[in-house]
Amino acid sequence: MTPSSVLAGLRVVEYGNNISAAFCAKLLGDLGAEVIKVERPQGDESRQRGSFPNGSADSEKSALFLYLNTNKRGVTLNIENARGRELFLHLLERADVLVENYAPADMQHVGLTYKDLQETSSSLVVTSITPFGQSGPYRDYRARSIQISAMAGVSVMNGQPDREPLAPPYDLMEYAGGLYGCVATCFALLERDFSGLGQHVDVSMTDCCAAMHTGLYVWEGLTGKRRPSRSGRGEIFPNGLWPCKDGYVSMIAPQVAQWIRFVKVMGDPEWTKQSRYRDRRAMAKEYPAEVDALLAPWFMAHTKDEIFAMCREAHMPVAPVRTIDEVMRDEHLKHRGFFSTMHREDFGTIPVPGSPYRFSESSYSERRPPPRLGEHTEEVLSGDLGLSKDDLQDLRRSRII
Amino acid sequence: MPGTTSGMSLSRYRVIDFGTALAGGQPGQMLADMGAEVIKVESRQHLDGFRVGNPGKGEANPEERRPSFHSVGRNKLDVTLDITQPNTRTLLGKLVEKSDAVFENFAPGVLARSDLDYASLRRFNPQLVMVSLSSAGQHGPLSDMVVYAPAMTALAGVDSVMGYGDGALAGMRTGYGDATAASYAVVGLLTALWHRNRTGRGQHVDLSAWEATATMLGQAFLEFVLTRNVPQPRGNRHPNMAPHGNYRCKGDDQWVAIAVGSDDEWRSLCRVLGDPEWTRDSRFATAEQRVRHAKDLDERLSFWTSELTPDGAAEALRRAGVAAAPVMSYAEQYADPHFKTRHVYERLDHPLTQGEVVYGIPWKLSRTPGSLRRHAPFVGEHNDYVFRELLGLTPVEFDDMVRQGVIR
Repeated sequence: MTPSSVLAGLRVVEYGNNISAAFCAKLLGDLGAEVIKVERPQGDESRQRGSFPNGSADSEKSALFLYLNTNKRGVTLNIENARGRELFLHLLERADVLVENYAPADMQHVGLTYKDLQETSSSLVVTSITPFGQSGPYRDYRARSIQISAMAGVSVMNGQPDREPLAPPYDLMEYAGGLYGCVATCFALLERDFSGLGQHVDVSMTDCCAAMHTGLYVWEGLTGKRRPSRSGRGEIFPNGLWPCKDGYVSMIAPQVAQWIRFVKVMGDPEWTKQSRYRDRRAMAKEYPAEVDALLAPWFMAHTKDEIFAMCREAHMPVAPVRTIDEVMRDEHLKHRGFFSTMHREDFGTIPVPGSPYRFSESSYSERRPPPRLGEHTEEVLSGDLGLSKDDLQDLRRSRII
Repeated sequence: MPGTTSGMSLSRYRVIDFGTALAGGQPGQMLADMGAEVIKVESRQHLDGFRVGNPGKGEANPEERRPSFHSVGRNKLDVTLDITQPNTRTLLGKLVEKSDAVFENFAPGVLARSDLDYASLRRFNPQLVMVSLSSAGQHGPLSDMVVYAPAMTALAGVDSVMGYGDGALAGMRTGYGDATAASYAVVGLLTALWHRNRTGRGQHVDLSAWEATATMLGQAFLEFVLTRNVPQPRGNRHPNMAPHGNYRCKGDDQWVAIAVGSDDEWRSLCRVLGDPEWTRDSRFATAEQRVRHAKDLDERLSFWTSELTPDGAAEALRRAGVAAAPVMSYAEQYADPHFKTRHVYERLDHPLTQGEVVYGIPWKLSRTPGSLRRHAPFVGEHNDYVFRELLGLTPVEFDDMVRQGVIR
């Protein structure tokens, strides 16, 4: 028996724009769920965001869209139109999960609040991923990755003390929002296995990132035991990035035995014997630049892979800072087959990050490349919903699809 | 079972939790929050690393006092088992028979040495689901790598695109890799249970924290594939949005995060600023041009924000439909009306530390939301419940297990 995908048989409809809902639905699709992505007729904004091959805009070749929309069929539908809305509800009747990321006011405007949807199907799990969730004073406010990072207490801790706080790049906090949406959706699905009932899964990206990324330090922060700092140095030296011959290494050694092993790796230089360089808290807080200057000659004499190899042998937690192209060439990741491939006629076969997990009984595959705009509209509306050619003609004429 | 979880999302599930520290502690915490009976297994010889260290040092029972452990340990039960004792396997096997899933984040190979890996444990329960989380996965040339959370963003390429764009790297200094790996662990475990519920087949899930972190940066990998340019740090600037950054406000180290995407948002921003002359500069007319002239734009916008508090600037902008938020730290987060309304931080009393605040359950399920129902467990607090009540050991058998060093 060939192993099936772990979520084979799960039916998901995505009504999303940009990152969070699309990433959540991609995670489900990559695990084997059948995902129908419903786009507004003008298409998902991520189609316009790039990057594009050779820098020339092509809405079918946006890096952001391509990554976020593997293993989905794509349908265009104007939901603001009554007939479009009716077709959307028909799709939901046949689905287990709806993932959406529009502002609560927008969903209300098109008559698709959870209450409306519950009437269509009591077993439907509706996952709404928004910046601030479905309740509270900010529910209809806009926010993007940089605002989520700001309110989650992440920005204030990243960057240099004398400069502006640094938010994670590449909209990372919105990806996190999509991942938390997927976690919460799974809770609802497992519960439904017993009750047969759906529910509304309200995911605030800001709340999730605040809780999961810095939440466990809030009490120590409130009682003054922990102060946020952008020094990038932590409490005990070493903790941070250090430049070396060909890039950077990331190093952290909370245990004294680890630091002693590292000193040995460096060949026991004289300066490490002075008491000034044994007080690792003072080294981190009072004179890190001075210690850096002492470390620099050794770091600058070695490449990051040399340092990684020596430290690995000494059980010292050091990692090379890999650039994007280096990650793609990494031998360990190759051995595990982490990078998968995506194939479509117009761009050929290209590598793409695959699944971070190996299921012993279930397969993982890029079963479908990302859909072109409206690529599966006919297939889904006539195949799944049973519409005739004339119906489709009508819908096209009235710009509903 | 201590405390009722009926009517919660996972009230019918029992999970054996070998997880430690943050990435290993959060999966069990998420499952326990939603009603699963999560039995944390540790031993007095090898306490969860999250129990030890500052603060708590110098006080009695420091291992019961650490606030960060109180956050990730809440709702869990705790038993003490020494996995290196030969008879532990029999006792653990009985618990596996009565459980749905096992989660662990030992270094690869540790459980196999005690004959407690998946192949061995599934003999007690053929439908068992087990998730193994490790830095680099169970197999591969670097699978024995010993590293901490910051290594994940280094190896996955995140650190290489995080900096001010002036040549030096800053790297990601908050545990993005931990929260990501923990969340993927829960997805892996729950989807494998979903599959089991349909097929009757359990399975093992090998999760790599390094790979998990890399999946969050998919756009950067495809950017390299499509353009052959290696992505570089660009500070807080954004390829599609300008202004986009953290702007200095009145006061010491005070900042507001502002992001403007569409032309509509740009016009709203201009209105809030009082439509000054410079906003009509043709260099700022379209999103593309604003991105190209982001530096000039940032300087002008900073003049405006520097006269305001982060709250004042953010409130004016977001009411007008512009994405804006104060750059917050613990005190501001705790006081924020949105976080208060949504119970993002909740009081959870622990017998040794009154009035403590932990993070709440951030997602809201309308019918089965879960709850914070008990404080983080003391070491071995539930040995009686698990070994006597659940597994039915007699007092003599229990004492014998203690004497053999199995329960300790």
